[in-house]
Amino acid sequence: MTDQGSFIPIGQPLAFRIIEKMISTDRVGGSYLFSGPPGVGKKTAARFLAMAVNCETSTFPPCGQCVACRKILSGNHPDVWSLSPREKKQTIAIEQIRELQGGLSFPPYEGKRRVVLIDPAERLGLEAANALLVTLESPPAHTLLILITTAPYSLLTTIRSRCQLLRFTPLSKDALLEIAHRAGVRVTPDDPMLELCQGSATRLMTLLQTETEESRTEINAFLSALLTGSRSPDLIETPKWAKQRGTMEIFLERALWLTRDWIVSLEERAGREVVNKELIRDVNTDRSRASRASLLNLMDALFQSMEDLKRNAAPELIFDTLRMQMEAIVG
Amino acid sequence: MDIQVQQPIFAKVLNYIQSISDKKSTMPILSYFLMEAQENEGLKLFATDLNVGLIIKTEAHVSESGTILLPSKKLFSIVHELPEKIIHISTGEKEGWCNITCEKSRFRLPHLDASSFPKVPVLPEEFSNTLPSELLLSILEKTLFAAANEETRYNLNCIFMRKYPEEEIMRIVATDGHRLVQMDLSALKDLTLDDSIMIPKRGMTELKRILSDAKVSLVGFEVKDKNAYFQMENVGMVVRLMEGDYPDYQQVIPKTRGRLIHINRWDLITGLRRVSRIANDVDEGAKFAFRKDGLILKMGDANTGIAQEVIETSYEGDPITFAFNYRYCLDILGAIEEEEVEIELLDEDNPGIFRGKGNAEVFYLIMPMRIEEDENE
Repeated sequence: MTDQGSFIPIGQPLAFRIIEKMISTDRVGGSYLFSGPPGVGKKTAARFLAMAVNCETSTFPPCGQCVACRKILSGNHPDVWSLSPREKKQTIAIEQIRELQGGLSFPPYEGKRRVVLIDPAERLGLEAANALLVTLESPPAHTLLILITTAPYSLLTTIRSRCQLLRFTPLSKDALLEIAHRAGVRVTPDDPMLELCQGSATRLMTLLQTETEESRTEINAFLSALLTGSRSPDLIETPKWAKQRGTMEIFLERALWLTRDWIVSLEERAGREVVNKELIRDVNTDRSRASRASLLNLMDALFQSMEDLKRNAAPELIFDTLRMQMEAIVG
Repeated sequence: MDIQVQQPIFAKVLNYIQSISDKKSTMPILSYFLMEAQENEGLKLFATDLNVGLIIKTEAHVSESGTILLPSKKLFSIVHELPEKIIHISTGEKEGWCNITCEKSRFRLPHLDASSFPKVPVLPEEFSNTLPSELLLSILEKTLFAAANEETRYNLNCIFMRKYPEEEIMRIVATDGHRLVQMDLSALKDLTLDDSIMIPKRGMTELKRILSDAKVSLVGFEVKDKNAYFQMENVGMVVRLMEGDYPDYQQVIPKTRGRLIHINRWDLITGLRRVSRIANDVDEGAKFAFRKDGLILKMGDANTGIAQEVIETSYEGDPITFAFNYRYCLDILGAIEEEEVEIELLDEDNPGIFRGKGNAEVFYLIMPMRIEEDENE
């Protein structure tokens, strides 16, 4: 069970204040666009707003205890709908919008107001987006549409202009700590993951997940060995973490940050924060091992690998190619 | 919960239930149904897809009350296969699991917490209208096929009802934009209905299914709080009414009367069936060429083959040709009960109106199809 109040958004004070104002003045519009980087609480805020307009106690913040709130929290409220691309589909299809519009021609089943979350909105197909315009412009009575996006500028301007915009920003360290604490995940304020996650709680959780901890240690060991040149990790077999997409992603991201840190430390400019202080300290003992240009090349290679991984290339293959490149540059 | 229920009874109600439970995965909980057992009261089952809800009361021996959610499809398929004996359903042995036993068969199914299910609607204690189920069934059979299925014009996916107190009729309309049925029923003039209503087709299809299956003579009917309620003995149905406006269907009904042609219904059906065998496409038009020596039904084209059939008619005027979608014609001819059909035609650009001869209560309208240049004319 979730704790009482654990549904209240954390670390988005501006969005929270706007929602509070909307509810307290009873001026909730028809269509909203929640925009911001991934994993910063857009969906949480949307669900919170759905609870706020449907809570049986009509309090702010919503009680989280009444039938309506509990149904929303468990994803079973008959009037809170969620629209995403269908299984194995890249985009939200026009049929889904038609179906939605058909559904909207009925009054809410038991709630005060029907809430439709369209997430991610940037995945609306062109036809679907155009079909949605009519509904966005004048949503039926008792309807609240919330579009959620990480890429507002890939939406049609006609969609954007029909929604009220609510911006979400990367989370602060304090907010991240609070979210981790609420989720029951232990993390210390000086954990480098807090920097690495770039203000995204979802990313932080992935990074902290216990099942990746072992691979994380291995990844760190591999990278540190590679960077310090103490010993080129002579691997007969591809390590386990390089065979899996999830851990490979973490590896690439870590490698990218390290390379970035290395370049920063080469520049010797004050005020630039080095994220992976420990590893870089080791590198620092022999900084001249790699030139700035070669490190930048490495960065390019890493970006390319990330792109390849997204496009479904085999993680093992990416690892092998990359390893050769890395050894050539820093070995 | 601890209940015992007869397999044949349970299988029958579950069959109704599983047909309502939502197949689509937008809200997984809707693929479940709610089962409430009350000591001395028997069982109450409730399934909904949010727009159509079914509440069924059925006999059962209840030793321990309780309310749980069970997967509709799965439970139905299990119960369907069980022998015609007593089924024993109980919970409590293992948290979140429900035991089903019947003779030598044992099943264990996970059940969900009932509090997360949509609210169970309250059926009216007393119904202000009672309809003979035969009448209701015949209305549905004559109208439902004409209501739209498509998702683009959802305000047509329904049956429209409006009372005209001065004319002492209840008007019932269904259309998909290509064809239309209008019934003006004096038998329903006393129905209490304050405003016009739009009852979704899906609910009416389910109602028709239950009516044709269950042997009930009377159906309770009530419209209240944006819902239509139907009661068929122990089976109650709630259909949420659609919001919005029904399109102005009267626009398509010609204001001027056309000439009337009488044809034997069965001749026309068999004739159409025969010539339609040549069709390559389900939406192909059949040509109705009226001549002095009869009606010539024609389908097909010079490339794929031609079919033709001559049918006797009462037609006396100048030769004239119309084209109608043959499936729509067959649907309508199937809904008409009278032996003779009256077709009212104005000109090629206006819809054709079909009636059973002497039946002033119902008419069916089909929009004409464009006639392509025909080298045989």
